[in-house]
Amino acid sequence: MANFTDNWSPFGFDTYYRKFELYQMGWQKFNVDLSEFALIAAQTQGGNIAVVREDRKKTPSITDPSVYVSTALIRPNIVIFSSSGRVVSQFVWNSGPLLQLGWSSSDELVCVQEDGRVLLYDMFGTFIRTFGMGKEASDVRVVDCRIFDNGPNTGVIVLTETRRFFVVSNIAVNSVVLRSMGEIPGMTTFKPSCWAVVCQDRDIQVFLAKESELFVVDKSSHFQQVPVNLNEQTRGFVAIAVSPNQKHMALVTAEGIIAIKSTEIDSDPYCVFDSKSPTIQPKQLAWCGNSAVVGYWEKAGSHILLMIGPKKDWINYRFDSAVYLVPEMDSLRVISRDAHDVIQKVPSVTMQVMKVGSMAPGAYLLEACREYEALSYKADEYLKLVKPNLEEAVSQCIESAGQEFEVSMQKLLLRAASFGKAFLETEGLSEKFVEMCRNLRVLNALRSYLVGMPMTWKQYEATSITALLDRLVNRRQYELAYRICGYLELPSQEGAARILLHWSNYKMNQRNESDEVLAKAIIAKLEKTPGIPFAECAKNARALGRVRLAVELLERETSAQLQVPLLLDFGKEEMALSKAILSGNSDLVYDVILHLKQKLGAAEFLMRIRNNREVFALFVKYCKQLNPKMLRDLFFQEDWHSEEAFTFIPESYEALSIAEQITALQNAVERFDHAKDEFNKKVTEDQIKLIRHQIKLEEKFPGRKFIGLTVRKTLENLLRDGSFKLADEFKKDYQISDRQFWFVKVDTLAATAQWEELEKFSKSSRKPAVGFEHFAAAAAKNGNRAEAQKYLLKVEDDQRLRCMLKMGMLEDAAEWAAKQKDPVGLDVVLDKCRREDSALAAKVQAYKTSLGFA
Amino acid sequence: MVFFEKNAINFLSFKDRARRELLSCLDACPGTKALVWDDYLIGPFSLVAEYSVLQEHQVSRMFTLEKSEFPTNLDFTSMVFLVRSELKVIKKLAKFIKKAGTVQKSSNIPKLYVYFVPAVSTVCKKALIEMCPSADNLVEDFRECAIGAIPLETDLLSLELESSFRDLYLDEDPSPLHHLATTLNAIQQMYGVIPNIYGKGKYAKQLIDMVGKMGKDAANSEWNIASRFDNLFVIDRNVDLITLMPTQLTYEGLVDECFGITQATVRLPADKFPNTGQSSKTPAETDSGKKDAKDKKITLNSTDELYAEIRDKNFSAVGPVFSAKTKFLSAKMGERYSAKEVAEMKEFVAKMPHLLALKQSLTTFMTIAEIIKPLVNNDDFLESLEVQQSFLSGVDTDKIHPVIEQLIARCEPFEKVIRLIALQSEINGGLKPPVLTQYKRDLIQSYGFEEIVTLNNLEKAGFFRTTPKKWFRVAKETLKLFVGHAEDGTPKDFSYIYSGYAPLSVRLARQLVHPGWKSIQDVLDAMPGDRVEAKQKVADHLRKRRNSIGSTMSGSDEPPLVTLVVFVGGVTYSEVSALRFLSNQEESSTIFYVLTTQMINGSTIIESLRETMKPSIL
Repeated sequence: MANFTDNWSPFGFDTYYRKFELYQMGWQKFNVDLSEFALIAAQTQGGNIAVVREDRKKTPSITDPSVYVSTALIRPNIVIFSSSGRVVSQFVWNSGPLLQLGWSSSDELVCVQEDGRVLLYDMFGTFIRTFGMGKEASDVRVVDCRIFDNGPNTGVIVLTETRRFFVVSNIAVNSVVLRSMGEIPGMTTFKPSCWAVVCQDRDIQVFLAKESELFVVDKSSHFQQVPVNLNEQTRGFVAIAVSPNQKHMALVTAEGIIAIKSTEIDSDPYCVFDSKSPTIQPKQLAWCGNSAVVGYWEKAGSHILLMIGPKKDWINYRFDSAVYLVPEMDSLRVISRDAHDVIQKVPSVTMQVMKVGSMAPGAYLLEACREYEALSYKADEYLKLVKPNLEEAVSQCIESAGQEFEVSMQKLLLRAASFGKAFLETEGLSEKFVEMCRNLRVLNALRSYLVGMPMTWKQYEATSITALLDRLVNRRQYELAYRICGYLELPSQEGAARILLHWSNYKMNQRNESDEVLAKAIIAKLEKTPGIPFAECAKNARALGRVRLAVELLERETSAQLQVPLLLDFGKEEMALSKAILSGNSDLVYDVILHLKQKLGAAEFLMRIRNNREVFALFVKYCKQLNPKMLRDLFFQEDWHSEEAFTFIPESYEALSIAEQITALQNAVERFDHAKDEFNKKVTEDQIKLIRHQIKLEEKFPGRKFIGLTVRKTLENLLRDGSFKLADEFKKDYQISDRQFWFVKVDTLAATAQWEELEKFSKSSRKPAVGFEHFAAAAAKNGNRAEAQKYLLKVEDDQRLRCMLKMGMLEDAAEWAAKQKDPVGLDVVLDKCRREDSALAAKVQAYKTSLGFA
Repeated sequence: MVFFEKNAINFLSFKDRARRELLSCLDACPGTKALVWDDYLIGPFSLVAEYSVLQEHQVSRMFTLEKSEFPTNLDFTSMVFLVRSELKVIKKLAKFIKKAGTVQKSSNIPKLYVYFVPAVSTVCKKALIEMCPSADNLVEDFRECAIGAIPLETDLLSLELESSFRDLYLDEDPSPLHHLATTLNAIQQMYGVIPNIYGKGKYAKQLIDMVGKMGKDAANSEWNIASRFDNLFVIDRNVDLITLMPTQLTYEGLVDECFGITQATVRLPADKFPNTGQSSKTPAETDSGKKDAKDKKITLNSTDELYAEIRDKNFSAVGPVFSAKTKFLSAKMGERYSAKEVAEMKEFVAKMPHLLALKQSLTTFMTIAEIIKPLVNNDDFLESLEVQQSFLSGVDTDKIHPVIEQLIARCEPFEKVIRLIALQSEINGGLKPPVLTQYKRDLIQSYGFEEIVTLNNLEKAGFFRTTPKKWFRVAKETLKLFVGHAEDGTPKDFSYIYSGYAPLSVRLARQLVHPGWKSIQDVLDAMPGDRVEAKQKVADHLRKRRNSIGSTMSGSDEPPLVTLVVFVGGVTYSEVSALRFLSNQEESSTIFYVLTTQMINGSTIIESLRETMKPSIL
């Protein structure tokens, strides 16, 4: 039986650390020696490694020109390797003297120059952008710097020759803000022997050692000495390292004493450990997770890692070549000439399942499974042991599978889980199992030699899937990312569409490809996936100067809202207009119209928009509200005389004098004439005539108001005053119809109690234009029953009943209906009198009965 | 298996949506807020959120663009403007903000946020800045408050676009279509893809095209909701202007004709109502302090059982309902005397709230009926009703009608006269030119020269025609549009709504569901505008299960056919009543829902096409 714990080392009570190999480094063939590198920067979470060979130029020291000091790198070659040692890219550094390299959380290579300029490159050596660390830094030279993780962001801090710190706490686009840190009195005179950055809750502190004294400064210029109680004298601190969670720090003294303390200022070291190597200073000090610190010493050609725990537990690891330590949140990676190793505290679930002699259910289940596979009866015995806790056992096996890098181990543990699962019907376990299989598949793909992202389970869990996809995209692992999206069934918008957008952007950057070829290739791929943001894609193409491609892509955008403004941007107004119209979104059409209006001269603009009915209508609406003058020009241009005429009508009402009013109306008349609109022309002419007429009338009848009245009202006023002759003329002048005239005259005469005139009028024509029922009704309405009766007699028989009812003469109506033998009429009367007059109702009933209609 | 309950779809869910949207808009503005309303929006928004809710979201004061002055006492952090994205509103907004510019300098400055309802409009933004350049600096942010459709009832969704009819048929601005398409999209997201699409009219076609285009995108975003609607029927208002013209004769329709219903509420003179001592404060009442004490606001919706029963009935048929309810009530109230045992009394007390509520609503709705009665029982009303009926039956439609002439001479309300003329024109398939000219001359002489513009607008919008389109006669026969005198009591046909006239739009909807449009294709094609019949793809598993699509005759285990009728340009209360009548019929297994751009009647539409011009010299 193979022992799972071969690579485990005990580390205090019930704690083990394990060290295992991730990769044989691909760079072996280049004969790489880590000690030859001037700069090494390895990204956390299994990222890339950037290296620069030692090639420092010696320059005369400022203080003593006879002494040459090695300074920054002048024209080095920067090589970027993946974690597995494959060359990703290399490029020649051709900017200023290079001081330090580092990686940002978004996979950018951060290069800090001696003059404080920070340059960002992608991992393929493409320059992204740059920013400076301030005037002072560029004036006096930066002597040291750190590139640090600040939550999800990345920060840069530099130390200048004047011993001042400047920090940018987030180097992301648009958030670069430079701040200076507090100064320590007298600091200019010493160089800190070591320093480190602690950032917690966005608060940034620098711990720095001045020989045996430790200080802390922060952004609020606050500084403080940090007491370090070591129980013995020291010549000074030579190394300092902060744990990944920023809670602990380790210090190494010149005497080789290692002290571990909390990053809280007023705390004593909780561990002081003598490394027994007082003469040699450690080459690197790094944390392994948050619970052990590792020092790297080179002693007579052998490379020793000494890991110390808070309880003074320790382990030694020996290497035959130089190494480089990369601290991770839960482990430490050790990169050497030949291999890439991990030192990690054995996760507790792994302990439970695999520790020798473990009595945890998972351990039994694993044993049971192994026996079962070996066709041994012992399987049953182990199973019996675990039966009561089978669920827990399955969970443990599933979880521990996640902790393994070795695929065969993963499989073994999953087989055990699956074996145990067969005896259970618990809900959720299967989901958990499937989930783990999926995740492992993704993890194994990431860890593969070709991709080279050796993430631990904990790191994987701490990373969102989108962040993970971003990292793959940054590595141009588009296909893998795309497949992961499909495999994990991510919604298109978050997954596949986003990946394809990046991919297309990468494609577009391939300068030697023509727009046509690219368009074909890109669209063929993108069209199959829903939710592709084609507008954004087009924007990218446009930014690269590929206008034709951009237009082709934009054509595919489904949201007109995104499409139209971009088309305008691209100068494709016609297309923008047609897309806007098609969308039915008037606002977009207006966007185009106003864009054209601004871009073109007035004349050209008007010519342009006439071609389209919808556009024209919208522009007319716009002008009606905001620009009536332009509206008229438009109608004029189009020879829309009638429309043009109508624009003068509101103007005539807004006019401040009668002269102006008449001018406006005359303008309207002229246009109506052009339009051959006889009716409106006549009506408008009549209006002009009316106004003039009314002025005369007001002169003639001082104190009377005529101006502004309607034709009918004017007529009524004349009739009220008894100016019948004028009224007759007025009727003729304005072609008032006979019936209108008669209605108005009858009503007016009755209303003004001109009864004689009314009678005269009723007899004035042999054939009155309105029936006598109107005379009767008008009289009745104005309270003259006697007059009403008079006209009632003349009313035609078929109208008589109706007229009587209208006048409220129910009784008469009843009699009339009875006389006419009109049952329907009787019903109508009955209906009217049902409530008010029961006696009459009875009478009507009687009539009905007598007529035989009851 | 039962897939559907009758009434499974409830448009009131759109209220929650709208409310969430509004509140999230408010929450996005810091601190205490003053709300400044586009006056028109107060109505629709009062259906969405009560003032107390707004207060919970730190709204401390409210103003309106039209009626308020810019406040001098600026005791709030943010000033939030809620405006429609329409140029005429922007003009008012510009004026208001200009005042802000003068006040702000001196005091601590509130932040100004402009929310466009229902969508940000660049043209409005530009226009605002053009009219009031300081707005660019003063306004912190332009945002959108995407409140589109507002449910007026569980089966009725309205965009409440005040000028949708004018926009579409006079200004040819298709914005209402865009808003409708967006809403239809939202409906499909909620209730699944609607498989069968029908439409009649130019704008119906345009809308269906837009929905189709959006549907393509929708297929992309992988909706996975079972289809709840079977049919979508889009009708362009232009196809059926006739129905707008006669007076609506349902209870609700008459309330609307006489007093105007806005957002399911009506204002009536308070002194007509017995003082019940209880003030039923509707949300809108507390909304703004500018209410006349003389007016009483009454909410009209089917949460009131009595109103639900009478709203769709012909006005003449509500009397019996009132008397039955009164009898029921007095019998029930009488039980308190007969109750002797404690248990009986307890039972009575338990019923009390319900009885009191019934009493309250009986009082209210009988009072309304009393107010309406004299308005409809007078000779003038009956006379124009008679004219309507004679036109609808096809009598005397080709010459000048003496009653109309008389109405003009008496300067009766303009809208009333125009409705009759328009009815005559539509039914006759256009008027002879001399007839129309005479009407127009008479109208201008009576109502003033300024109506020349209104008449032009009406002609453009199709209210009067001289070019003959004689399809109505055929349609009347084929679709049985005029049934003549309708039966009282329990009618069998929805022509009772107009006492004999069955609205064309509803007949088309009915025909569509059963037996289908095939038999009336000729008539449909004779009517103006395109006819659309289309299908949308629905994934098999999202399809409604039925034996054969379009069969409504099968047994009760079949789920009912659910149809969404979209009225482009507006719908009347009567048409909604007619559709409800169809949904509620025992033997019918079909349910109608309505989506509209706004609630209208003939008069409000004519009013919206009217230009108001007052001479400035006087």
